[in-house]
Amino acid sequence: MNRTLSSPSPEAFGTDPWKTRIDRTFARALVLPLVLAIGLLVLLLGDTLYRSVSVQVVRADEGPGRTYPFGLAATEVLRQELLARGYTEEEASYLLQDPTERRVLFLQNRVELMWNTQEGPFRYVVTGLGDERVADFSLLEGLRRWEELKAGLGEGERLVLNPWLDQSFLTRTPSRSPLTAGIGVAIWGTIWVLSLALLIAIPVGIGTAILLEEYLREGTLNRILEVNLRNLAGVPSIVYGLLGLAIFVREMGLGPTILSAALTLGLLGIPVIVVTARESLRAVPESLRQAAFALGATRRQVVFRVVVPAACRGWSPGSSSPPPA
Amino acid sequence: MVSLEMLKEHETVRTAPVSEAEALVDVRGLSLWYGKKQALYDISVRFPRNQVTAIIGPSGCGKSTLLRSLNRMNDLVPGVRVEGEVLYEGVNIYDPRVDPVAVRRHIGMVFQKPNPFPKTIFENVAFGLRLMGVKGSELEDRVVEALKRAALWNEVQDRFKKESGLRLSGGQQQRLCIARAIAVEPPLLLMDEPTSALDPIATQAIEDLIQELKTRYTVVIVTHNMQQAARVSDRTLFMHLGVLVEEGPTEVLFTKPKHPYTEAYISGRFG
Repeated sequence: MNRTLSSPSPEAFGTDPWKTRIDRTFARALVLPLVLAIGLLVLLLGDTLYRSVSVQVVRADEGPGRTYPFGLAATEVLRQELLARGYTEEEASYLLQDPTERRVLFLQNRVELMWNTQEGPFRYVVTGLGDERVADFSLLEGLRRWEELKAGLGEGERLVLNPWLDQSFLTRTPSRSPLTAGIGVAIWGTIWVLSLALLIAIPVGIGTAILLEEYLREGTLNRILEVNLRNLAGVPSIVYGLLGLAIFVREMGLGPTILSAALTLGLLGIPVIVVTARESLRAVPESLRQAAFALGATRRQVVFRVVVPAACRGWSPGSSSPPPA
Repeated sequence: MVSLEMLKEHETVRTAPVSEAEALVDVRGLSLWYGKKQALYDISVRFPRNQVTAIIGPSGCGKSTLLRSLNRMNDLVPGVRVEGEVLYEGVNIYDPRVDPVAVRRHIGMVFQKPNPFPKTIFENVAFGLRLMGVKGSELEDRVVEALKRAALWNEVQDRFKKESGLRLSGGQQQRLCIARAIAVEPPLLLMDEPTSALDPIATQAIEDLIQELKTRYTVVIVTHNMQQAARVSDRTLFMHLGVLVEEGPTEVLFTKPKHPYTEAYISGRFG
């Protein structure tokens, strides 16, 4: 077949616009799910942030409120205060009996002692949250009606842009009431459990990988362990959870503690760490081990001075450009 | 054309044999098995001090195996069995009381493919020295000295402490490996086809280097390339099927081979 070009123009090589177009469309279609996912995440985050700020009309706290005799208990002071605010007897006793409501009350209202006043010592109630909210508008509505709201402000009231979410959200404990709820316990729990679990799983996992890959290279024991490790890595985590409950919490009597959780999570992580660490040890070329042995290194020196550092760097002969040392 | 049975009939043909006094390494009746397969058959040969001895032969003839049994690198292969003796300075390195790790500190080795560690050039050369407990300024001096002797110093002196050994070109990497091997001043240097992965110019540099090294070290080099053996070596060993067929001064072996197989191999009729 004659392969020479009929005319000396770029098009003479031949074109296929239709195929080119299909190719491009296909490439774009592949990007679509990624764009969709990122878009949804941005939407979610944006919505959360938008709702976490609102325009509020607040009335300033008027300082120390009514005073009560010194001998009264704090709960009794709050009860009388609630009655004075117009609550009925039943409502007040319900609020003070329910543990959560009582907690909210004590958080919002401080009962303080004052000494050395002219009438002697007495108790009084301070509204703990400082300002009292009168009205609450979403960000957009609030900004649109800003002037109108400002004009309608009453005595001692002002208009503020108030975030519902503040730093204390990160330090507060969980609560049924959204106002007082926080993720402090969750954060600290995660930090403790995870760091303890890693402290257990990483040394054991990497140690096992080194033993299997560098010391017991061939052999039946290695093969049996290999199969079992891969199986363990596939066991559902709920099974480890039950195991942790049975052994650490009950049998060993550690109770439902951070330590039990960390031990269980560590156990869950070990097979995965062993398998991954073995892969990276296996990726270290044999020639490096040979070079170190030929220089008179013992096996321990070969493993810890050459193989492990090389494996940590993720260096493998397949990588096109080795990272700088 | 050549069978093992026929070869085993023959005694090794020796021209101008090396005397015991001249020899740094004296191999006596060395046989080696990988599992059930025998790789070396009753090899006896002496490697003279401060000379370059080349080992040639077709693929699979056992030349690398012989080289690796001189520093007990074969011990790392599972299922290996050795009979016979390898006397190094009169001491049998296969004596049960000898620690193979200590043997390898006396004998340097350079491999077929350059295999620098993924560390800096400095750390590569310092590796063996650190194993021996050399520290501080002495360590640095000896690293620089080794780089100079391996003819690499001029090319890397401004960056040898920062740059990874893997960033060097293939020929430079191989010279780095040589520097790494000679940094501990091993009296014996083993080279396993050190230029087979290199281009002609890098090969030339390594060959020149081997000539320099000869003044201080004893070199044993395995090579696939007969011209190279002729160029760099003082004595040559020809092996075939695990048998040492002929050994002698290089010019004799290449110009007047006595054994018919040697002649056939050298003239390119097999291998």
